[in-house]
Amino acid sequence: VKLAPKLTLLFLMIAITPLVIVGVGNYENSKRTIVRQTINHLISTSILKEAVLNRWIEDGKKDLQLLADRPYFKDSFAGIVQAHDSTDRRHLSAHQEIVEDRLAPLVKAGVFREIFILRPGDGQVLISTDSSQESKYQESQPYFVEGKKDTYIQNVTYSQSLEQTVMTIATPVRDRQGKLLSVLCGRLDLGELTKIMEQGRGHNQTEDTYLVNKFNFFVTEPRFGKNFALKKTVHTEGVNAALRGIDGTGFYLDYRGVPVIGAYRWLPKRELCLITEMDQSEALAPIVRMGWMVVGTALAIAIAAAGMAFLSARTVTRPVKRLVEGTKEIGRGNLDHQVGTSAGDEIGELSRAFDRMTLDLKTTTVSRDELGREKNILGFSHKQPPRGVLPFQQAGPFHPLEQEFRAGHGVFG
Amino acid sequence: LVEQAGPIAFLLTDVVGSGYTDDVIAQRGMLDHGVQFIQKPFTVQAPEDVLIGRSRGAPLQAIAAIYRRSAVVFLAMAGSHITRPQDFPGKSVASGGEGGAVKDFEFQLHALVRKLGLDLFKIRVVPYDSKYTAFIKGEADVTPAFSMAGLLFLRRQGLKLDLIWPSDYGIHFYSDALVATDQTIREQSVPVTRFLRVSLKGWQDAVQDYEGAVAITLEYARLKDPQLQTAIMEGLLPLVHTGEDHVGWMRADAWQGMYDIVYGQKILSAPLEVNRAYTIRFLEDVYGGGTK
Repeated sequence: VKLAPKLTLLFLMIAITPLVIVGVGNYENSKRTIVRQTINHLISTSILKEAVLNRWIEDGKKDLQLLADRPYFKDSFAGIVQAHDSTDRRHLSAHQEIVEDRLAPLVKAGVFREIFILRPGDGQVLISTDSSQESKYQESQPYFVEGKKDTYIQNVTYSQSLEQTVMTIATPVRDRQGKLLSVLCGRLDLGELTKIMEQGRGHNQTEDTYLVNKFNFFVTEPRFGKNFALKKTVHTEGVNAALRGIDGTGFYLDYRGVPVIGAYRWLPKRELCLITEMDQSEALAPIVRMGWMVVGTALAIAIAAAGMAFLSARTVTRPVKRLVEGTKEIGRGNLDHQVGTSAGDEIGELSRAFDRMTLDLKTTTVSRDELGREKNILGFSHKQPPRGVLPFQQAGPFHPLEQEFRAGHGVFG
Repeated sequence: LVEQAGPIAFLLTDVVGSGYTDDVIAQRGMLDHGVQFIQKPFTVQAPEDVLIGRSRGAPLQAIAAIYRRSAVVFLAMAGSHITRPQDFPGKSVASGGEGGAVKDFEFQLHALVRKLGLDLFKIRVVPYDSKYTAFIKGEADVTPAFSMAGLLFLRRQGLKLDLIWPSDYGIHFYSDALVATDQTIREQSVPVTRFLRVSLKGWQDAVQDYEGAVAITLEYARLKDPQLQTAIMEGLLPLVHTGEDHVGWMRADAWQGMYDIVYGQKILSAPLEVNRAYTIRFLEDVYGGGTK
């Protein structure tokens, strides 16, 4: 292998190796940082969502309790219930007043989609903000059974008559002596729950938070699904872990089969899993970009380094090559050929030394040639002894020219 | 699933699914070598039939409720001002006639009337029409239907309907229940558990992947209409999985409520201990003892 590729490769390695080491280290470090940041973000999002969810439910609960504690219900409601007669105009007026002035404002506030009052004896809906629900019976509903005793939150179930999922809060309405007058109930607007889960996604394209019940069914709509609530189940690693009561994070495939980073929490009071996920492709996109940047930079540096290395190698190899060619030329007898350069480096010195050597050689050669010419002039046969030596035995009568030469050169035989 | 349950499930799926008699099974060579024939150990029945049968001495027990809510719904045209059973008096209700479905409808209507203290004689009961022609023409004010059949059919006609669910008025019934005989329960408890496990697993699979279930259904359905079968499945699944308990689960208070209604209608030959009409021991085995 020639010197130039060797040197180029050497220079390239020297340039690239630290870059690769630093790049890979940086990549791994950044990846860890971004993954940690993503996980922290998902955890804090899920904690935040849990807090918002609890506050939303607690707000609803408090609103209902406050309503049930109002003097109107404590003092007047017993009479209204007893006088429940749909043909009595006074009753109808009182009914309308309760709906419009007492119950409807809570619905308008946005937490509840329906508020209704149940008769304690049989669970019949006496009054409701949704008149189509009045006169129905809810006596077997847990929120009625438990709501007679204390405030009770019934977790998400499917309502056949409403043809949708519902979550109901119930609280007893008692008179000042503590006697149960009715059960005040509010159906939470689960559309609002989905909105809570949707809040705060920011600019993330794939971040998703949703609730799953203990039977693996979606309770709120996931970002990439429609009509999933209580219709589709989900059995991801995150959901299964949460259902085992484990809170944590992980890398796994989500309900679409897409790799995600997920944070999962089990909410024991609600009997729900809170899942917050983000596609790995989005979460790790900065890393991928950085990876490509590192590769691109490395490639660019490698190309530049290769070019520079090649040029550098040429500064060494070109003079050497010229020297080689020069020696070949000199070898062919051209002692006038010069290879010397003005470079101050070792190769420059070598080239100049070469020239000096050639010059010396030339001087010697010229002397020899002159001698030879003289010999020719003097008629020396080629069988004569070596040039420059005049054997005494050949001394004899000299040619006139020879004599002249001898005189000129101080040669005497 | 059949492979999980072993030979007994192979036999039972044929028996339960087809209603083949013992002779047909034998003639068709359905009995594999080494498979012992068990005489129709399971049936699918309405819970009221279990109660009625039990009161007449039939040794039957429900081992799981498939439809945990009744699919029976009374329909009235939107705008007809019939929005609750209390509006039925003076109107015509198409719940008369013969047949299994009609019996269900009649039973629920009577239960509603009784529960709400209505006068049955003021309700004009007309024959039930499975094509709902009279109802569509306005000749019948109210018609009962199953939510995943008649209701679906009428909605697909573009009709706007008001729905009156008996369950909203305290008439809570499971629909289809898996029923076994006392002897089977006593002597075949392991195969019964195995059968129930795979049967419920099948339902769970259908609930979890109803599109897949529709695809399988289409292979066997008479009406090979994917949209219709999907709508049926979507209507059916909320009855199977209610979000409260496990698929198939049965509650004591629900059975007591059904018994009270049936007993109240004086249909039972004799009072009975309601907890002898069902057992949850196999459900407990399947679900590991958990109630939910």
